[in-house]
Amino acid sequence: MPDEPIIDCHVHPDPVDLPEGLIREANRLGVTQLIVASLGRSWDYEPSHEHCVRGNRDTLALVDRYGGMVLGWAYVNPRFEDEAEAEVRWCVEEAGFVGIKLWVSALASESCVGRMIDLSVELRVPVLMHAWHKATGNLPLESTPQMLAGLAQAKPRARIIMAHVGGDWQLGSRAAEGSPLLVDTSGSIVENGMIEETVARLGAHRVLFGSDAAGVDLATALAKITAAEIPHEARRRILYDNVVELLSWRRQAA
Amino acid sequence: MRLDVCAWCGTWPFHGVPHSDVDGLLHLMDRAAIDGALVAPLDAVFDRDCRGPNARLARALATRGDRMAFCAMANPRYPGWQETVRIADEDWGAVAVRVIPTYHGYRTDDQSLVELAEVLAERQLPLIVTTRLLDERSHPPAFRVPPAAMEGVNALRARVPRVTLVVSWARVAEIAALDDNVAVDLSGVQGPGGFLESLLEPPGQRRVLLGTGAVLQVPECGLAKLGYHSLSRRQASDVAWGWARELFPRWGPSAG
Repeated sequence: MPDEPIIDCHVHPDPVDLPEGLIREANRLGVTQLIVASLGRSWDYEPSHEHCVRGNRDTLALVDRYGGMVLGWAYVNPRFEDEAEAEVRWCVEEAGFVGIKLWVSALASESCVGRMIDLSVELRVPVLMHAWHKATGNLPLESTPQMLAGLAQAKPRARIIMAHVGGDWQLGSRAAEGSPLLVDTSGSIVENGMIEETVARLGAHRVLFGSDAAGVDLATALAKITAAEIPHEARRRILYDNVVELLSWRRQAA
Repeated sequence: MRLDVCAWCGTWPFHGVPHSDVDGLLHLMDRAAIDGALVAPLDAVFDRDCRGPNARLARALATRGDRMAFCAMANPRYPGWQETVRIADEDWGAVAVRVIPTYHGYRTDDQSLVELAEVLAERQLPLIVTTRLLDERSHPPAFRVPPAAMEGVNALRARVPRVTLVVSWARVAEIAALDDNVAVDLSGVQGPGGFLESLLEPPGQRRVLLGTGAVLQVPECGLAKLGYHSLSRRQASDVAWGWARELFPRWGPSAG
């Protein structure tokens, strides 16, 4: 494993706590920080605002419990526009969360999502947003990589991270090519060539390490990056530097 | 020692795969410190008549016997499959025979698969049933192939108990649906964290083998699963090579 710090930008509790096994694995593998988003205590694609708030309080408890090892994403359903904005402001300004997590409750092309992106620019925090292009069919409000690319082009000052390289990573990285989208490598897809090709298309400065633990095995997700045939400097960026740069955006403002 | 029971070489028609030939696989094995691999021809997935792809791969592996063992492909719904199996066994020294039912258009409860299993039991060749090769969400739109059903595998196990049966590239939920006496490889399981620990519970009940899915998948991702903090050394070595050596007795030098 790399003898340098590693930040995993895409982690979920299960569903309230981080499994002890995940913390031990992070320590074993040298993953020094986990950025965690609770999606709530139950599986809900179109959650109530209260569901999201409860999840964020669970995330805050993890941030408090694990000190600097755990950072938090503020998870909201952007359809509850005013409440979602107030929750994001509280999470970032009062609780020290590092960004906004959006999942599958609104399409990237909707104005309510645009409002969250504008808020992220005002607060100078990144947005981690799910995207997938599924041959099996997307959920009704599950954004595609093309939608996220369009959003990123419309909001060029925002720092939007497309999760899972869009799931179908070839399509996702191609969609991201002409936009300012960043991508994370999270998820269960471990195809040979995924990281090398994504870096070749987007540049290492736009690729971030994410695992999607606890649903995905942390060691497996990390091995995608450590085994990739890319220069050391690129690996360094993916595993650490890019996230640090993203998080410094808000600190620079302060 | 590390023995990969799920490795492939050949052409993948839907997108470029780095290191997809025999030399490429060897490079991946060296990179990942894998001692031996049981290798099947990818071309046979898309050629209903597996005989030609088998022969091409067997020839290519002829000088690699120290690191790679030949795993023939068979399609029991295609005419002449018995001769294909005979050639693979007697001429090419196959260590096992792999099938991929849904790519070749039959179900795991198909009578032809029972007949193949009986032939393999007679020849003392293990049968590997491939569940998938690609996440269903990532299939090309005009080429969507469902995973193989585990119910049929359980029925096959019951009908041909003499054959050594390994299920390959299944997910955790699919493995949970399998009878305990069906062995599995790890190529299709990427989570959740701690899954291998749960698959090995209770100890000794399920035979779980290292399978990486190379060249389609990153082999190091397969190996990473073996490092899980709470596995005992015995458990890790059984998965890494112990079960492979027991279930594939014809595997040569690399299985030491």
